[in-house]
Amino acid sequence: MSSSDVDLGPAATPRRTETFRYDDAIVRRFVTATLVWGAVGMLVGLWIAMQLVWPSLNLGPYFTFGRLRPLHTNAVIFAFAGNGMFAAIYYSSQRLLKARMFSDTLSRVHFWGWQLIIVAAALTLPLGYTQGKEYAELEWPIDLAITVVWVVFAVNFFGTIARRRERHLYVALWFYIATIITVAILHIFNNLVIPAGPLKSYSIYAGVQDAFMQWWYGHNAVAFFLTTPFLGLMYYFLPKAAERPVFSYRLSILHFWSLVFIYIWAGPHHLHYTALPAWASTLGMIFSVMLWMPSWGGMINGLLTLRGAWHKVADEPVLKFFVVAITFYGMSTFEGPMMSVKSVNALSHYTNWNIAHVHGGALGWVGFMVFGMVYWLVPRLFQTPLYSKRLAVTHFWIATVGIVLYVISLWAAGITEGLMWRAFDDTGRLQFPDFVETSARLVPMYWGRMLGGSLYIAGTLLGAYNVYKTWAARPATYAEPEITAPVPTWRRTTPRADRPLQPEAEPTYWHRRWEGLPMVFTVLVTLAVIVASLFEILPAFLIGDNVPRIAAVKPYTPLELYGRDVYIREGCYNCHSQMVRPFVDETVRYGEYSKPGEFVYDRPFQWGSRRIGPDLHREGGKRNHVWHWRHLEDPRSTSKGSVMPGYPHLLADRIDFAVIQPRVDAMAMLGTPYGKAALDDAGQLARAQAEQIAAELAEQGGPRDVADREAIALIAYLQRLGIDIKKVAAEVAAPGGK
Amino acid sequence: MRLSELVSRLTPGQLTEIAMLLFLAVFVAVGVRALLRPRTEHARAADLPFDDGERDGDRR
Repeated sequence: MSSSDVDLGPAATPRRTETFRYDDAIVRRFVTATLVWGAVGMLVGLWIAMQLVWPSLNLGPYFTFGRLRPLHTNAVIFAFAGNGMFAAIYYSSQRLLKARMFSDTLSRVHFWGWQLIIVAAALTLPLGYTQGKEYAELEWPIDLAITVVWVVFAVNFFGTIARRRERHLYVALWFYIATIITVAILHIFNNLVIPAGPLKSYSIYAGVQDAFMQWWYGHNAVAFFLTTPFLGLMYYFLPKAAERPVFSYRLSILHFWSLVFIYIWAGPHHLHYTALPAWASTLGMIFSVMLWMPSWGGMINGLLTLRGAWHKVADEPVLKFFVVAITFYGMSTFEGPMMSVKSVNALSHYTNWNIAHVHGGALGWVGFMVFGMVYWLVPRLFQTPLYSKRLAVTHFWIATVGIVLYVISLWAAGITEGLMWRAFDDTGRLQFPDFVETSARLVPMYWGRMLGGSLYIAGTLLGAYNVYKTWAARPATYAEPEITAPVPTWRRTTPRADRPLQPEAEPTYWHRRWEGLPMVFTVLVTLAVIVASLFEILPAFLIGDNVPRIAAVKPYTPLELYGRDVYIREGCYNCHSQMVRPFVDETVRYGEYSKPGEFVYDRPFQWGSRRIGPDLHREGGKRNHVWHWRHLEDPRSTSKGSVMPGYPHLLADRIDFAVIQPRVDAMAMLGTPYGKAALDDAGQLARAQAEQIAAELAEQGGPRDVADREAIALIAYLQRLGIDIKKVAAEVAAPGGK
Repeated sequence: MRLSELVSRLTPGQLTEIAMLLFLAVFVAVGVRALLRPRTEHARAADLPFDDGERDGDRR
């Protein structure tokens, strides 16, 4: 960086200027990582979609649906969308702030640290190391690494803001600030755990409160990881591509503040009709419906930015991607609030409708924004024209048709299964009492989904090829043009007597002042997020009768706890819920509806969000041990037409009794009232119970001498599910609860 | 008075109403202030993406 003076003409006072260069190398890295991980994550998605049609594609133990589905979601969210978001932030922030990134070293640490985290996820998730909470599966050492890398990113970003040469913070930067602050808050508070081993932990929250925190996190991960940064992207790259400013800067102010303030409340809509208190559920629904307002304000602002430039859309693939992305943003933000309305949610929850909604947002909004940005960036980053505009247009059309096929197929699947689950015949019995009947009916829709997904992936691979060929034609060395900008008047420098700093007109408009004061702005964003969160979280934790205690509900035995950990490790929650909703069809199908007090020892909660298989909360005692043993060995031997993977390895793998004691100790530390026997020798208690179950299994005609197998622990857990309130009549303790 | 006692004295409905009123007040304040200002005040801010010292359009 160097300093000089600029002669502004005879009438003007010369202003001191500085020259500097943008760091585009870091943007090139993030763009490359975006495409590589995007292809990987989407291919894993296609693989697990195929597993639902051909269960034999579950290659156990490491590549079953339950272990691969979190890998898919983590890869597309944190690797594909994450790297795309970072590329956007690193490119646009430098230009909007007229400053090189604060530290090239921090940029590199951020990039490589994030890639290492992705690799760690790709290794640990198939190995079964998981916290068992959707989109927050990674275990505590990786969570710590994420925290460190995020702090590095934040220091680099805010350091760049501190060194900026443009006083005003453009609207895209507000969205980036909200992302950095809120994701940090969400990540830390949802991942508070007590370690019970090098890659094993238990959440400090239990049951209802854990569910509440998880979906406060989960929904806002959608908001602040998959929405706000991409809105920042939209506000920067769309005007650039359309070569005209954003339609309404005033509307962007409204869009930003209302989005930040409303989004944070909406999480409980993921838990309608569950054991969550009704007030929280209603609050989540109301704020979700209110989200229509800012979301559509943003969509309209985006689309109207193209006023007078629509003719360019016909010729420019970048704009094609952006227009469809913003349209999907509008569709998804209409569909989401609609699905949060309780009566709609009663049908849509646990069905493929959710998956359709998620992919409309992920493939349509996030994916297309990323691809539009990549096609705009690549010629500039690699300093050569795009290899093939025609390929880019082909990518656009293939992917668009793919999304539409995908979403329509799963809409049909979701509504079909939702209606089948609740259907009664003329005699008042369930019309489809066997859950497998619904699974079989969905297969044609799954084919539609596979076809749509394959088209989208084909488009992604075409895009990656186009970028590769563009990269291959790059110059031997990249030009790094010098940028000249006036020295900011607010920086502490000693003006020369003959070259005074030219004072900028002080912005008087209130919001313009905030925008020029990044710390104040950041504090206000933080306040908006925290105040809104506390209004929901504090009552959920502090009002005692939110979770009435049920005296009959006891902690899991050491063996059941181990079996529960096997359940979590295998990712059973990806297909099975543990939450019987208070609907007639569910109580007829599964049994008594679930009560909040039944989950007070569940760390983490395992309510699930989707029913590829039936609910398991009342599974205990419904079937004998040998049924479970055979079902785990080969699900289709007991449930013809089931799409569940076989788990024959559980019949052979030995229980690791040595890890049981530290796990019991960790649970005890969290308040689970284990007795002296469990605290002294949990392993011995586990062995005794395993021997008993193995003996019962043998009596029922099952194999002998299998007391040390993991399947026994899992059976112990499954046989325990939901039976406590059957043993003794529910006894609600006095308010004050837990 | 402990925070848990304070929160427990309010019903969830009252907390919800307070939250809604708070949101409404903030939203109305932001909305009114933003919309009352002339569009021209934001013209320079809206042009910032084009003021990055680079020439676009020559590397497509």
